[in-house]
Formats: sequence, C-alpha cells, structure tokens
Amino acid sequence: MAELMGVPHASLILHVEKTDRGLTVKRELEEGWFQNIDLPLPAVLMIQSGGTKLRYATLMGIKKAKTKELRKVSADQLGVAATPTALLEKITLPQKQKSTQIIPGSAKEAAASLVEKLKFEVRVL
Amino acid sequence: MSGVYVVIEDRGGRITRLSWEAVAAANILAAQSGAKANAIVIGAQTDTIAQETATKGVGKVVRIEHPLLAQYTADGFTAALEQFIRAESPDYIVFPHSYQVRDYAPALAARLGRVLIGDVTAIGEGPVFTRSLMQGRLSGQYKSSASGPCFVSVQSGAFRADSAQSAAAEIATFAPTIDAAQIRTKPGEPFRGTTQTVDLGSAPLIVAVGRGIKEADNLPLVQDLASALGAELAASRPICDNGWLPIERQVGSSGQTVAPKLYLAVGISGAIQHLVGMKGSQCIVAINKDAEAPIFEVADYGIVGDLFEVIPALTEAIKTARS
Repeated sequence: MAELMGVPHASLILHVEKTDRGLTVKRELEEGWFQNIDLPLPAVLMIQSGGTKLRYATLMGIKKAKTKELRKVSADQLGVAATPTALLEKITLPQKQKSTQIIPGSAKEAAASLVEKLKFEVRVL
Repeated sequence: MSGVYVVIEDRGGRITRLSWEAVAAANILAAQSGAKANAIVIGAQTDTIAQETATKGVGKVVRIEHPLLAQYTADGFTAALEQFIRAESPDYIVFPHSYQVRDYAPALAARLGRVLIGDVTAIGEGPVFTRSLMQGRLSGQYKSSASGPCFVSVQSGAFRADSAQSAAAEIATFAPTIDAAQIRTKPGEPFRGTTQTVDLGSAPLIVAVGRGIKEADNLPLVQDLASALGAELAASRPICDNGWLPIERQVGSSGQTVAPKLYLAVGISGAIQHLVGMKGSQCIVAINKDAEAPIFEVADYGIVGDLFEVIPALTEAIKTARS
C-alpha cells in the first residue's frame, strides 16, 4: 500500500514516537532482536501485536455505532480496474504433516496412557 | 522461461538456514523447465557470501552490490532488486519468508505491478503454489496469472535444504544505481531486548503454554507439570504479549526456535508463527480442547480435552511414574 501511495513504510512496529522530522518507530526483528527506525511523514505503519493494549467497545459505543453513517465506495467510483496477477484456484483441507495419535478416554485415563507413551515410546521419563 | 532467481539473506555475513530452504524451493520450480535456479546475494560487500552460495547447487550467482545496501532498508533493497529485475526479466523470484522479506518484497512486487505469493509451503506442477489460509485451517492453491516476474516467498521448514556441495557456479556482478535521497528511512543498529537468561534452544524437554490457560493466575498449573517433568517452561506469543511470562520464554518466529526431544503444547492452537518455531521437535504432544486446532496437524500425540482437567491428572501421573 505504501508503495502504491509513494510513501515510506515500516512493519512489525511495537512503539511509535513523534519526532521533529517525523517518527521514530521500534521494529521487531527475528529471534528477540529489535531496531529503531526514523522515517518522515506521511508513512504507512504495520503494527505488531503486543505493542498496544486493545480497546474494547463500551455498550454505549456499540449502540452508537449503529447510528453512524456507512459509506460504500466501489472500485468503479475510484476508477480502478486492476486485473489480478495471482489467482486462488482451489481451496482444500490442509494435508496432515504427521499422523497424530489421539489419546482417548477421560482426563485421568488419557493422562495415564500419555505417561505410558512418554515412558516407553518417547523415553523421556 | 528466462529463469528462476532466489534471493539469499544473511545476518552479519552468516547466510540463514531459511535461505538454503528457499534455494531448494527455487530448484524445484526451476526443474519444471529443466533448469537450475540462480541465486542473488545483496549488500555492500557480498564476496564471501557469493562464494559460499556458488557451491550450493545453483546455476549462477549474481552479486547486487552498492555501498548504500550496507544496512538493510526497504527502499534500498526494493530499488536495487527492481533495477535487476527490469534488466534481467526473470520469470520467478523466490524469497525466504523472513521478517525482512515481509518488509520489502510486497513493495517490490507492487512496484512491478505484481503481488507476492507469500509463505508458500509447497510447489506443484504448473507451477501451483500452496499456502495456508485462515490460520492454517485451510490451504489454498495459487497460480500466477500474469507474465513474469512472479514473486514467491517460502515458509520456514517447508522445504528441505540440500546440504550437498557442488562445483562452484559462475559469479556475476550487478551494480544498481541508488541515490541516498531514495532511502527515506534511517535504520538504527539492531539491539537485543533483554539479556537472555533462558536458553530454550538447548532444553531437551519443553512444556509450552498458550492462550488456553485463560489467566495468569492459572500458570502454576503448567509450572507444576513442567517441574514434574523436569522441563523448561515456554509460551506462545499471546502469553508474552500479556506480560504473563517474559519474552525470552517465547517460542515462534518472533521468539526462539526449538527442537527438543519432547515439546508438550498446552492450550496452544498452533498459529503458523508458533509452529515454525517448534515443528522440528522430535516428539510433539498437544493438549487442546479444540479437535480442529492446527497444532494437531504437527502433533505426534494429542489429547482433546479440557486442560484444567488433563494437566493436573498428567502432573500426578508423571509424579507417580517418577517415584
């Protein structure tokens, strides 16, 4: 989206701070690493989970939402007629990567059978 | 077909495991037209990684080199790869589905009027690309419907990296034209969040807890199980996001990757970001009340039930077996 709008972007953001020249954002990298990035505004930011607390709607807010105006915009109105460059041809159930042995019984029975498996098959007990 | 290219990623000069998996995927794709995939290394100094890549069964290696590529920026990598793709018109570009690729590859694809078929787990004849939908509950098969380039990124652990050494392939250089003004973001040096005190990577037994535990107050239940087993305690992302357990105990793409002898997942549904961090475990046991949870796709043993009943029973049974 940033590319189509011609503005910079940053992804996996945990923290956003306003600076004189734009923003400083804290980005998550892999394996527990982080990085700060400065970028000018306007910009598109993709927020990672955990950085902010969710705000849940109040009962009043839910009631009020029903009276808000909804505006629909079609692709025609925007003058967009993009042809897709990738097509979803088929949807299937995922192929099992392993044959999972489901252990039946009550909680107590299942726990007992699992301990047997951990002891004699996985050999970790 | 004028070729399949695969983009190699390195961290401080060390090529990532996922890059070799991407090479394997690219070679599967290239084999459909009887060819070998070519590799792209990118950075300010790529001599060493180019030479290492050249011996990994690729057709040739292209070094995309520029001083402004010393540190990763989405703008720098996008501009450099765009120029290469326009000059070379490859049919397919394959990427490792890393955080870095997620950051710039969609922009690169958009710049060339394409989309990224991301997080691919299988490549079939056609070619047809398989990727997960709805948090792994369904799987979708995609085909490119435009002429090249087609952008594809492959999921960690989905393809087996070929460790065999080959004769060194030819190495070519591509010098992109990049102006400092094109790079709109200023990246800082990467840093670690906290000093790591727990090394989950070397733990032989791991008990991991997920959202199914409901409240922080219920954690002792799982802690008791872990200590009865003599296992390290780990968690999925929501648990660490809530601050119930420290982030160094997080397993998954943003946390640690583990492969213990036993991975016992309690109340973890198995979002793909979690699965990539543990599916290499020797034995996976899943306890979850939802029989349809994706965690059961990778589990060796499963118990479908209420963890608040199963876990205390299991802890007791383990204590008895141990005594």
